[in-house]
Amino acid sequence: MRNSFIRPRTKSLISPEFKLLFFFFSITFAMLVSSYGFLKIKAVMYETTRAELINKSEILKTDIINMNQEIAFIKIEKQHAEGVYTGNTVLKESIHNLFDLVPQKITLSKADLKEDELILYGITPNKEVYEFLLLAPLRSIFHRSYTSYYAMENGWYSFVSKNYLDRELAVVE
Amino acid sequence: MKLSNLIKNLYQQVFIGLVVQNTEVRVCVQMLKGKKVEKEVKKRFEISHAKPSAELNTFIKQYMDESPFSYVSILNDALVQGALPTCSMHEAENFSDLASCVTLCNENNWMVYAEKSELNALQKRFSVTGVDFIFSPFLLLSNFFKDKTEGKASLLVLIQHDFLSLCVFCEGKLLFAQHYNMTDAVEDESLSEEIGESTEDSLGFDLDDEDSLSINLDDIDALDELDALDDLDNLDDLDDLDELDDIEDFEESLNDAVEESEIALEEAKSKHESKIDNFSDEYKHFQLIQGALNQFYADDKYNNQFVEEVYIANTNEDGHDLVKFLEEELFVSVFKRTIDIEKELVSMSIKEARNEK
Repeated sequence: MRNSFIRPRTKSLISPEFKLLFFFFSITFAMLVSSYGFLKIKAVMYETTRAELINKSEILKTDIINMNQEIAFIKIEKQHAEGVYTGNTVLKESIHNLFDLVPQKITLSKADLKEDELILYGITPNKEVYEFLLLAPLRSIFHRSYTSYYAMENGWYSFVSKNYLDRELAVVE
Repeated sequence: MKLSNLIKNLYQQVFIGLVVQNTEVRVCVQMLKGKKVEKEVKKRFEISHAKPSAELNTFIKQYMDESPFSYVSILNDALVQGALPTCSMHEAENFSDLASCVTLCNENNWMVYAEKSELNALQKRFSVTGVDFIFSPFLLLSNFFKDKTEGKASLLVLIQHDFLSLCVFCEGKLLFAQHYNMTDAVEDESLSEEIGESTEDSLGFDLDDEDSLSINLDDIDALDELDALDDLDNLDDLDDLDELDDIEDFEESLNDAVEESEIALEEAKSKHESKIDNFSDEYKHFQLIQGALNQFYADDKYNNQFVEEVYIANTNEDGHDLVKFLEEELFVSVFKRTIDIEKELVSMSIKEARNEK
């Protein structure tokens, strides 16, 4: 039961001055904590980003190594391809030259072209045509040439010409 | 026990009771630790127009600074205040318009009220120190005479220097209450005329009539020497006017006698004035009580009963004439107790602070 017309003022252990002081200190403390929190979060974020970047760089390094390996392999392939292309070109040239060497009167039935040897199968009207028109240029190209003649029923000769390049002699030359 | 109460008990609590009159404030300070009163200070300050002085504010502040749990309680000195024999606002409308009043229901059968604006004005007057509790004089009276309210119809009167509050209780229920301001100019004027007549009758002289005063002064011994003046009537009959020495002596003695008579006159005047002041105050009180009782008996809404006993709570030891008047004129038994209002306020504020949630 109330006996007073008014209610008493709220009593507090803390004075208004202390409340004000506490308020400002708490604001300062809150700002410090929030700044610390902000920096801490930023540091964590930077750390995460750094880890991600390191991871990424590792992946990139691996990729670079793989790519270098691929490049090296491609280079080898390219060299190989060039070699094949050059070989083919040389072979093409050689075949072309070979067919240029063959006179009209001689007919080739088979040609075995290997790295250091050439075996020709064909027919010639006579041995002299062969020896003058084909064997002479073959001897100028190859180091050794061996020819075997087989007489045919119509008087022509089928021949097998084996020509060899001596690699050691070629290097010395 | 609640934590807040535990903390309160650990701390010192300061209760300050203020009784404001027109020209003075009486202060009682009690410092409590738990329930034990550690220190009690009482002081009286002179003020003007019921406004607290800087000295009073400093005194209160000094004790308020002693503890965070300090409470200032004050007795409501508002003119518009009273008590009604009901707690129902609907029934209260029959007695008074309470639209602008703050009401407090007591014991579920009677209420005290006070004008809201006057309460605000009181709080504003003491805004420097602040006020925690404002008590009604009727609650103070009912607490002070708690043992006397339960019986047959009895009139309780609280007499302060500037205020008079009275209420009629019967079997614990309030029947009637009135609050008067003794410094009210209009009432004062009207009363002074009546009092003037009454004092004339009782004391046998009239203050306004100086001749009358001079007649009464015949009783004063110092004036006996003035009988020598009668001899002056015989001056014309003197045969020998050359006896100048005798005349000079006579003049000196005449002057001395006049001076002495003037001093005696002043003393007599001041003596009678103080007596008249006290007497007039008590007669004012009697007239107010008589008027209030007449109003109580005359109005049917107060469920009138014959008041057999009057209990007077007075702030000082005076009031013997008032008791005599009441007993002789109203045929009632009168009991008088001296009340220390500021201390009662402190007791009430202690109870109130403990009940406060």
